[in-house]
Amino acid sequence: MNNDRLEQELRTYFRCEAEAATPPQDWWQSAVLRATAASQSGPRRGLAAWARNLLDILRINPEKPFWGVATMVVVLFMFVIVSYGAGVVIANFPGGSTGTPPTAIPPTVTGSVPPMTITNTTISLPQTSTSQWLIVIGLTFVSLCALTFSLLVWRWRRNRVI
Amino acid sequence: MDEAEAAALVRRCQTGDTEAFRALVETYKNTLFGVAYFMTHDRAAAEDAVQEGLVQIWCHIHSLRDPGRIKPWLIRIVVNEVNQQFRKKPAPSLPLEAADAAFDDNLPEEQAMTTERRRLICHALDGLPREQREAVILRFYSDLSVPEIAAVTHSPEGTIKSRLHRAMSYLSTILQAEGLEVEV
Repeated sequence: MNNDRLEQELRTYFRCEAEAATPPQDWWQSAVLRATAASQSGPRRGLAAWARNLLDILRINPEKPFWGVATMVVVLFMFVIVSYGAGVVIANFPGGSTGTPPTAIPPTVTGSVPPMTITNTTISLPQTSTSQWLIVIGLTFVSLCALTFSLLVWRWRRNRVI
Repeated sequence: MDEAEAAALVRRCQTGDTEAFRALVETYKNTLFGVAYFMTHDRAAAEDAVQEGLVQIWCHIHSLRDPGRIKPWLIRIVVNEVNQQFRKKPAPSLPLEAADAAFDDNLPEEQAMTTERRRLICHALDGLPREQREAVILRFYSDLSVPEIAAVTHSPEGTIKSRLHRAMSYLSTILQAEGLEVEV
């Protein structure tokens, strides 16, 4: 059997079979209704839906890796800045920790008034607190990267198209 | 419906127009269901795959950059849904009795010949490995080009050409052995 003839046979076969098997019109109408309602029925439920929403927020999409990487870099910067800021605030919180409390050296006023010269203002943080924060930041970043990678692989395997 | 009309429908869908989505589904419903049906051999499984595919299509149609390429995109989603079903539950091989039962033998003589031909082709297709059958379905039922099939199945073009070539050789041999050409 030559190829053209075979191709024609296959096309005819597929067309006949598909026409016979296609569901009736009302099935399609309800299928369209279900599809459009599914995305309008409020928040998704379940772990998969939660992960999908998170992926959407973080823009983790195998088709557009640039946006995912850019978003992760921005998130990292925000995390570092907020962590550092929180560290400074907590370290200066009076009576909160067992370590050495931060010391604020008052400005030294010299000369006559006016003018007033502020020579030095120092806030010192305990060394152990800073290194702990660095460890926490590092571990969190590694966890964040691992989570991102896992989600990326999961999404890639689940839905390689969209 | 030509490509421009389909692209216009897609753009309306991207704005959330459900009527446009209904029209889009109406245009491609046979293609989508046929692909799922021929891949699964099971009407209920095909309905599930198409239903889930429609949800995915509606949810993600806003991310489609080139509305002119809607057909391969739709097929790709349905093929992914079918493959996902296969991962959960391996594809059943169609028993010959079941395939035979799908054809009505109580038909006039001229139609009975057609029925016999369909039965032979069905059995021959069932003997193909899944990847080859998928390529044949996408090529000769969905009318996709080799590059489009490669994109849909995430395979290199050379692999698709090879699958099609092997599938056609196999089908030709089997159908010739069954004497199909004599009857045609």
